[in-house]
Amino acid sequence: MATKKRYNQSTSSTEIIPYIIFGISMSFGSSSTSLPVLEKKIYPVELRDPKYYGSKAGFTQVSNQNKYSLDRLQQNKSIITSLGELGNNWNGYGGEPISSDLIENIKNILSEFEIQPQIFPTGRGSIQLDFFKSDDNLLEIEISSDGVFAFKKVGDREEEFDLQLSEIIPIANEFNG
Amino acid sequence: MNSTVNSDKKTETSLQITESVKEESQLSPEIKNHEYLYRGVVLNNWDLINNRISSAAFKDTGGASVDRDGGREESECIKNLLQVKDFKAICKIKAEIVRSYGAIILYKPIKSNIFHSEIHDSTERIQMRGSKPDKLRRSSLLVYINKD
Repeated sequence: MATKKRYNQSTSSTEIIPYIIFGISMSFGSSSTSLPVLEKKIYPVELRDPKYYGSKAGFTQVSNQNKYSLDRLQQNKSIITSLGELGNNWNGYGGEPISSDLIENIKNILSEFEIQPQIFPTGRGSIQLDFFKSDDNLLEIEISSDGVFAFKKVGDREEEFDLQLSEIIPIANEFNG
Repeated sequence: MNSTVNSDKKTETSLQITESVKEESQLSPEIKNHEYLYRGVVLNNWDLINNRISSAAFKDTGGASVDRDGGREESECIKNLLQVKDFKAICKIKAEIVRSYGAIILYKPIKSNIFHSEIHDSTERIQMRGSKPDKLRRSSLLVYINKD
């Protein structure tokens, strides 16, 4: 008689390990397909700089463990400080330097995020905060000296809107809540 | 006032250069739908956590600069871009897809790069924001990545 394997208290750790490994490999598989068909071999990118990317867990993955993480806050403060070192043409396409005022403004609000965003500079001198859960569940907030603009996609629903600097935290925390 | 005049003169000069380079390049001024547009991505715009390009990569002052393939082999397009900068990744997107999102593509050759082109938000606005950069990001195909 065939028996169905179930997790329970009597299941030994050696029986569970293959399932864990399978789960991990599935997880990596899904993350590497966030871009469409890859036409050439893509090598797995490792988190190379422990100064900025010390944790292997995603910045924007939503879990209680990541809420108000001091490690990630410090990593983001290092990243945003490093953006001040970008000179003219930093991206090969005439990218503009990021102003020190903008960097300070964002640094000042970082500690208020429940979940730390990923931080990217843009070629037009603004800074983008990404809260990326998946291709269909993301929030991008672009902050420049001209203002703040957000793009949110949840499922098929897309929203684009201007906002004030003071509205960034509640909107981001609501998205991650 | 003077700066405005200088700026106008500069624009006029760059337009003249663009037009003369266009004539020299012998490429069709119109970018066909089947052409691919290539874009280099620096490490600062690469999402190390999710192995993806951030849409921030498509947010330049003058729209998004790209290189049209202009009938070249892909390997040549990649090689030319890597001569400009040590990019983390290079992606490509078909002109037809860009147009399907309502963005426009302009062929704007420069002396150092006769394949240089720009993706603008629309005829009214140059810089892209909101859903368009995100759509470009997700529709882009990675053709090169530096594993170092």
